[in-house]
Order: sequence, then structure tokens, then C-alpha cells
Amino acid sequence: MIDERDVREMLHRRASGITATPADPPTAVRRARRRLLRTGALALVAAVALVFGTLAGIRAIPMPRRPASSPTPSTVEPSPRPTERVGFIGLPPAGAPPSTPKHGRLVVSLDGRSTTAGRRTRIYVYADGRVIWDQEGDLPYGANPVTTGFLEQRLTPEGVERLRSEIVSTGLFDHDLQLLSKHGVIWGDVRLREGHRLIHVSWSNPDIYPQDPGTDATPEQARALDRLDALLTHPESWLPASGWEDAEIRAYVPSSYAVCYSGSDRPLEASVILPLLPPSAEDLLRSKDRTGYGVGPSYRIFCSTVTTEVARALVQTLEDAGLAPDDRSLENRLGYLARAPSSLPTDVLIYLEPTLPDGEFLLCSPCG
Amino acid sequence: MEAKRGTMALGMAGEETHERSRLGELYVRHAPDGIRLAYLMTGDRALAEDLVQEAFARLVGRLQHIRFPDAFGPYLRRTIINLSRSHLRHRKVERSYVEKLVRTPEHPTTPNDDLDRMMHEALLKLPQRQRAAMVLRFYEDLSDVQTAQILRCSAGTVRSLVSRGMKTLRSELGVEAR
Repeated sequence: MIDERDVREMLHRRASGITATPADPPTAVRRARRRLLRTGALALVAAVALVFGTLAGIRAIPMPRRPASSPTPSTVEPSPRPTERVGFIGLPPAGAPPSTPKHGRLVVSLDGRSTTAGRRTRIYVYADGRVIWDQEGDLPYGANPVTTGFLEQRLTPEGVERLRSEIVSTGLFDHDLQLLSKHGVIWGDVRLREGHRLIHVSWSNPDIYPQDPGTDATPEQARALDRLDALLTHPESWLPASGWEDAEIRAYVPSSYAVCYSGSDRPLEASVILPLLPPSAEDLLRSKDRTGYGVGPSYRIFCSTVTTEVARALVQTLEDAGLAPDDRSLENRLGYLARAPSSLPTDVLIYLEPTLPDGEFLLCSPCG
Repeated sequence: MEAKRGTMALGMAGEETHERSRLGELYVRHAPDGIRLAYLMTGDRALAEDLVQEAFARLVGRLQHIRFPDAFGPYLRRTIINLSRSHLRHRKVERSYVEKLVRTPEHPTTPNDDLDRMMHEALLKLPQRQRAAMVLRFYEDLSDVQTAQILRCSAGTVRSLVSRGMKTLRSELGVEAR
């Protein structure tokens, strides 16, 4: 009588007989790019048709009225943007003063891919006025051609309240919502503080994320989502100058870092990972509290929070031990790979993520 | 102005290079596992490679919209399962196709290989959903819930598919297998 174990073992034996020698990546990539070009051409045709169709029918379509509570576009000149790179990835330059105060209370946050900005954007606004944000892409003041790194500006208390009230006026924050909308937005997650709790509104386009759960947005909600997206992605375009205490863009210098480690391709337990690190790094991380996180099917990442000074010492240890930089960090974070013995199914990844004033950090800053 | 123009050009080139290296890295990382999965679903090595190429080509267009790089694997896995099922369904000759495979074993070298081949052939004769459920549960080691997400059904349905698949395998191989 065969059982599940027999089937499991048979499948693994059969699969192991397949020496995986796929076509070289460039072939697959070229094929993918051809597909993208075809898709792009179709999209272009569709866009042209849409434009002509829209122009032809524009007289027949009543223009949507601007919501009464829409923010008035700012008539104030936007503050000059830095022309040199101020953002950084990894550890701050030695002696750079950390952002103050050390701790902050989150008022509102956005993490999403905006239709208006077109890029992955993360924004965190704190009660003390700090606006900490990053955006993918090559901006002149960003850390590198891939990302800005975390940057900081400051609002006045009135600016924070104005931002908050505009968000509330979208009518989306009576309670937690998970919406599906094909109207403009791609995806986003917004948290808004209401007393002691954060109200969570998230959305995605089901054409792009067919597996995402949620309820279909009403036309009003879809319009509100677009407005929310614009409000948070471009606050400088509508918040008056009086709302900014310091609009100059500076690097956000954290007070602490999350040191995270995991199997690079397969889940590994912390007890397996730590002995693969240089001894002093192992000792350091063993002595710290750690939290395990699940990402994807049975994936485990372990993180401990350390001061910037300890993070600096840890990085020195990893570099002295000759650990290779982690290519998958994709210029978004400081990461290293520790080679595992062949008895283990995967190498070990260890990386640093800056903590934000409320203690949270990104589990995967390259993700986007 | 010159410096800014230069920076912008460098940025565009940098993003393209970044995207290319990301694609290549994802392919190297995921294609071998994908080919093994497709092989278990189809029993045909060459077809498995084609399906993975196709799955990869389909997913790359969505790469910039995938929120987590670590989610690329599950996305790819789902696409491979769907393509395997779709491919065989569209051919409408699944049964004869499998019979042809049965007649041309790949490595009948040892008794264990023979047994594995017989079990695999029996598995390939299962209805597509039963086969997919069993491969995802027993080869990919996914939970009932994770398998259900890929097959777009309930965890209870996954358990039922696996149970029926096991029953069919036992009736096909039963005493001969052990």
C-alpha cells in the first residue's frame, strides 16, 4: 500500500533526476522583453485609440466636479530641491547626528505604487512634524540611481493637522477597508491614527493583483482613493508654505537599525543561521532579543534591533570576515551573504534596515 | 545643466541595467525549481523547459508590480501550474500524450527507478487538479491553504483532491508498489 511518504519521496527522486539546465537567462530575458515590447505596442495602440475616442466623445461626457473639500493647489513656490545626493543606504556617515526626537508617534503612513508618482513611494508622518519618505528611481538628491533612501522634511503642527484632516475628508477612514479598484490606483496601504489605534485602508487593482482579497470600490470610493493617492504622494504640491517648518530635504539618520537574517533561498531556523556567521557577530546576535517574521510560504526572517554604533561594529565584523555583498539587496540596503556548507540547502543572508521613529522598520526595502 | 543632463542619462541607463540584472538573477534563482515542478506535472523535460520559459516571460511583464521579490517564486509556481494544466487541456490529447510517455520511459535502470516511473506515470494519468494538488503538497511541501491559493479552491477541496488522488494511485499501483 503506497502512502503519502512514498509519493513525496518518488516526486523528489524524479525531480532530482532533472539536471536543471534552463536556457541561458539572456534568452529568457530577451523573450520576455520581446513580449513586453509586443504588450507595449498593443498598449500604445490602445492608448491612441483611447485618446481619439476620448477626444471624440469629450463633449458628451460631463466633467467630474471637483470635490468641495479638495485641497487648494499651493501657490507657494516649492522649496528648492537638493542638486546633490543627500540620501544614503546603509550606515550614516560617521558623526552624522541622528534625527530627533529619538521616538515619534506615527500619524499617517502610505506605502504604495502611485499612479500619480508612477513609482513605489513610502511616506511616514509623525506627530512631531517629521515626514520621512523614500521613493524608487533616480532622483538627483537620492542615495543612488535605484532609490532615494530615507529622506526627511518637517511640517508644522498645523501642517500635520491639515494633512490629517484632508485625508479624513476622503471619507475612507471610518473603519478598516480593503478595496479593489481598477480606477487609476495601482496599489497602496495607508494607516491613519485615530486615538490609540491606526485605521488601515488598503487597495489594489485586481487586473494586476487578481489574487488580492477585498471588496469592489464604489465609484465614490475609487475617486477618493485617487485623491488620497495624490494627497500623500505630493504633499508639497498642495500644502501651503505655512504648513512646512522645514521643507529642505535631508537624509533621515536613524538612531537604531534592525539586523535581519534568514536563509537566502529557503527558510532556516535562527539556531542554524547564527553559527554560520563570524563568531563575534554570532555572539552579538545571540545576546539580542529577536523576532521571527513570515514572508511568503514558510519563509522566515529573524530581526534584532541594535544601536547605530553596534550596527557599525557588526558591519565591520562581517566585512573583516570577508562576507560577500548581497546582490539581491539591489542597492536598497546593506546586506551580506554568508556561505553555508553543502549540507544546507541555502546560504545565509544578513542585512540592515534603518528603524523609523516609532520603532518599525522595513523587512524588505528592495521589495517593490 | 550639463551635470544634471549627465546624471539623468546615467540614471536611465542605470535603471535598465538594474532591471536586466534583476531579471537574470530571478531567472537563475527560480528556473531550475520551476523546470522540476513542470516536469513533475507533465512528465516531459523539453515541455517543462518551454513552460517555464513561457511562465517567466509572462511574469516578467509584471515584475515591477510584484510587491515582494520573495513573492516571485509563488507567482511563478502558480503560473507554471496553470500553464501545465492549460497546455494539456488545449491539446485535448492528454490521455494519448500520457500513454505515449508511458511507452517511452526515460531512465528504467533500477527497480527503484522503475517503481518511481510507474508511480509518476500513474500520477500523470490523474485529473489535472488532483495531480497539481499532489505535486504542490508533496513536492513543493506547501500547506493545504497555500495549495488552495494556487488552485483557487478551499483547503478542504485540496484535502479531497489529494485524498482522491492517493486513492487512485493506490488502486493503480496498490499491491504491486509495495
